Amino acid sequence: MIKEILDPRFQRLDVFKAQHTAPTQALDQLPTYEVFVLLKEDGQYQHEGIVHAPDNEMAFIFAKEQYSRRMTCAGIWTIETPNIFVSDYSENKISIYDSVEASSSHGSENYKIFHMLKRGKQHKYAGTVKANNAEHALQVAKATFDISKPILNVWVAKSSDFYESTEEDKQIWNTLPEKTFREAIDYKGQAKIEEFLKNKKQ
Amino acid sequence: MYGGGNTFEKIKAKDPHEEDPILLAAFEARIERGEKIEPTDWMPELYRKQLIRMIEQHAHSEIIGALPEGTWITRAPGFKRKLALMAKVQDEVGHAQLLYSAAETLGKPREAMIDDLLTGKSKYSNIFNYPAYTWADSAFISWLVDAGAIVNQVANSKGSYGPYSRALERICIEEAFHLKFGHHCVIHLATGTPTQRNMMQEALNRWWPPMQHFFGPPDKVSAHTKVLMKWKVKMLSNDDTRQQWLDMYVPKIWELGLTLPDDKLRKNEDTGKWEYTEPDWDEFKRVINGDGPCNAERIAVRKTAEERGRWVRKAILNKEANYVQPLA
Repeated sequence: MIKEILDPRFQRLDVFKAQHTAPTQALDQLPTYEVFVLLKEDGQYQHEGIVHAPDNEMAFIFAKEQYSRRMTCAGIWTIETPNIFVSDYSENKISIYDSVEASSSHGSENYKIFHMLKRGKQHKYAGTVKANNAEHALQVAKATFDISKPILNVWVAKSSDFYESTEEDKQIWNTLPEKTFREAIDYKGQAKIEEFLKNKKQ
Repeated sequence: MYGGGNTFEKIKAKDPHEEDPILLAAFEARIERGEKIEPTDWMPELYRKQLIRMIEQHAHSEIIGALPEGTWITRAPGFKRKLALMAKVQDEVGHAQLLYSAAETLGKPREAMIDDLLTGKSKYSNIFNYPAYTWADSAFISWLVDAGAIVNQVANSKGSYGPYSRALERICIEEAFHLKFGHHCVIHLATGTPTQRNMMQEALNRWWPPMQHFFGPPDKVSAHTKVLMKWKVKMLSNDDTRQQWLDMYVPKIWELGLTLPDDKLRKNEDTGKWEYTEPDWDEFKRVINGDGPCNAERIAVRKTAEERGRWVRKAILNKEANYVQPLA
């Protein structure tokens, strides 16, 4: 063991005094929110992962750091995990909609529909339908969306359960031009290596 | 940042022969077809447990791996280096979160994983138990340790578990900047003043043995590892990972006129393989089991963070909320 901690911040904190009074109690944990991100204005929202948060608004703040820190972003939706209804997974080439009866009668509430087209890929936003409940939303979706390609899995959730970023929020993501230091392209070293090799030869 | 290494020793789980043969056959056929496994699919117990342990250790490695470099943020030479290093460390912590999430889809809550890290029940990459004495050590980590992790992560992103692959694809995109940034730092030191050059050389000498340990001991191909390779959990052997890394980076180190502290290190042109002196595997075991230069400090820092953040977590905890397993 080295005698001295090298990080001055940790020296000041006197870290060895920390008492971790061990296993966190069951459920001493924040619930999870599923995060959907719109990478570009003309793109499609897609599922990117989860965050742990106390509520939807904090989930949005964490999601902003976690999922829109590095790439472009035009919008984020978050929703608490249990609010999403999940269909079964079908086998390849069989669509989940094959076992759903299409319905042309609409309901009064908005539901967002997400489709998974390939295992290993993200769920993508297909659109919103008006329905009475999640099951009905699936039936309306069958009659509404292009489902010519087999859909392997569907997520359905009430639009009102989402936290959605607003038009005004978009300026948060308008920072990429100032952050080129986070891009690989900003670190070109070849010229310096060549100069070094040339000087060495002389 | 994570190497292969020590995650493939046998774990306690139902032997694949005891699983339902019909379900097992369908599961294996799916992997054979190149399809990914998603969280709600049936999977053998061994697959689930091995993946939890692997992804969890990967996550811990990211979070602990941020510490030796984090040490250098305040003392990084110049504003631009500070910005970049801060962004890199932030990425690493973000990667830990992505990986914890992927492991959570298999049924182990994030809090349980963090508890296991703090109690020492679950491990992280051994290399982070070594100290970063100088800025050149930090540059070594950014370039070469990340490079080792990328070799492993690119391979694992082609593995069979959907959520882990998705997390890794994202991680690999973000790591591209780390690698170039690290190389840039090393180039500047190596082509700088004699003092800078010397500093870089000393860092290389110090980190060479743990870097060789990073890829793990030579593989024993047991029945256990064969199953994990068939299930696309383990994608590359420790030796393959090490060879790939040596092949890509040793020439780049030598190009800068730096040396490596191993007389036997050379590429055998006949076999196409690198030859090297076996590192001290006893030291590797000793450090993994807690007796490294920084093991105690790394865990103490995490415990401090846990302790000092407790009031915040308590304040925002929503008592009515129900934790459920995330979807994907």
